Amino acid sequence: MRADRMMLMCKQAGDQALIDAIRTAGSAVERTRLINELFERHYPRVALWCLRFTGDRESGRDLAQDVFLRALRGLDSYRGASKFSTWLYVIARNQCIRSAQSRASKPEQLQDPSVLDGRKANLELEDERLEREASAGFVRRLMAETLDETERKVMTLHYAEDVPLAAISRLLALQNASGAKAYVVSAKRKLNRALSRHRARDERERVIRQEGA
Amino acid sequence: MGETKQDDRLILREASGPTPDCLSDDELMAAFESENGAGDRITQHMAECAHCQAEVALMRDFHEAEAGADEQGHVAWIAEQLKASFVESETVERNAPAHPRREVKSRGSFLRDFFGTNPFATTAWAGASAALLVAGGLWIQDATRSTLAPGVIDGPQVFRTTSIEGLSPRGDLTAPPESFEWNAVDGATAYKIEAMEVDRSIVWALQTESAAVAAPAQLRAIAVPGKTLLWRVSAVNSAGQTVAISEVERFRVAVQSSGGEPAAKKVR
Repeated sequence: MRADRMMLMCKQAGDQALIDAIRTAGSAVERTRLINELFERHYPRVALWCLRFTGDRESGRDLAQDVFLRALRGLDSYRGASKFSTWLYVIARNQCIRSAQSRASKPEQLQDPSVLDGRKANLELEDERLEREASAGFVRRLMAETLDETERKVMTLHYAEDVPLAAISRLLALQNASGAKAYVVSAKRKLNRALSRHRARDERERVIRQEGA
Repeated sequence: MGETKQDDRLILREASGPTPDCLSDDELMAAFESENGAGDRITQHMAECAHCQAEVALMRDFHEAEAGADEQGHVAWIAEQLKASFVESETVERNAPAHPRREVKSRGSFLRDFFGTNPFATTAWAGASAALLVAGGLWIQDATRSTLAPGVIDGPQVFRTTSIEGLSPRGDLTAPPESFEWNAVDGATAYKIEAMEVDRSIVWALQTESAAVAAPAQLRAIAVPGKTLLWRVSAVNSAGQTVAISEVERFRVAVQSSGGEPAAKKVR
């Protein structure tokens, strides 16, 4: 009866209160129940994330299990500075990225979408520009200034984390026909336009300086 | 053209990835959760860093994502599977024998794995339950359904594993491994292999149906002389349940000696 009362209280408690209770649990049984209660609240969210990331439920289950295993092992390091769900997301993100990188040798993941759809010339950053302007730092600023949120997410996941485009499409629930690939293409177009504007401005300033001299 | 495209990719990778100035996980979490600004550094950095903007946006996606009609069933299934992977420690504890038994290892129990090394675990748990949980998180090597001590629940969530052993690579090598090999396990339909750094972070993982797999170039490339890598393999049955898992094996490419011994084969 006492245990039932405790569980009822736990179900009404917030995540942080549950974690506090886990840390002061008087027995392994109590601790187990509390952890179960805490984790079960977050199963659907992590399950959905992992399902989308992997594309099939068996792989999604395996990935989600890894996430919760890591959460379990790292629970004592959770300091409560953020919500438990946010902390759990960081674990899920890292686990998903590890998973993606472990498969990064697959050709599909390394191919550039602009190669895949045959639209090469107008999507590349040109040699000339690369030499003059396209340092990573410069491009990074352009990305912050010119890309929309979805494009930034797609570019970060695909280029920085090696997440396959198909997985990105699922993860971000992109409903358009070509999914994440279309966002890579549009992001590159925007970046090329922005680079062109900067190059034109630099050229104007150079001419003005020459005329002034 | 090919080089240009590769250059583009490298620049985009660098531009999209984190820099030393980027927000830490703690700062990203603060940026995500803060309604009224998260400090000057975070605010300023967020304004100009596409990578951190994307990271925070993904945090929001994680919290706000709703399963579509075609996803709801799968999500429910995964959640049920996660629930099922917990073994009631109460049952285990109540039925634990007074002496250690190494034969019983439940598969898929987060909590059993956890309590084996949990700093918060009670002495009582460490004493009585750890006997069941296989001390130190070791997996059993018994190849048959073992005879259980009286009183131990022989329920559907407790699996006796067959044994699996990583055969190669092991120990010091003269070159990065060409393949990974292990013994086949009765009832296994697939094997999951994981290669890890010594801190147990996974550097490569693969699922295969055979009892050997070629070592990928990416793994061979990081197996530089003197660097220890770990690996283990688990056997999975047709229901997707892990039925056996090997010990963690170690290997490294020996550092070239000055006495003319063969050097480790250089890869890439």
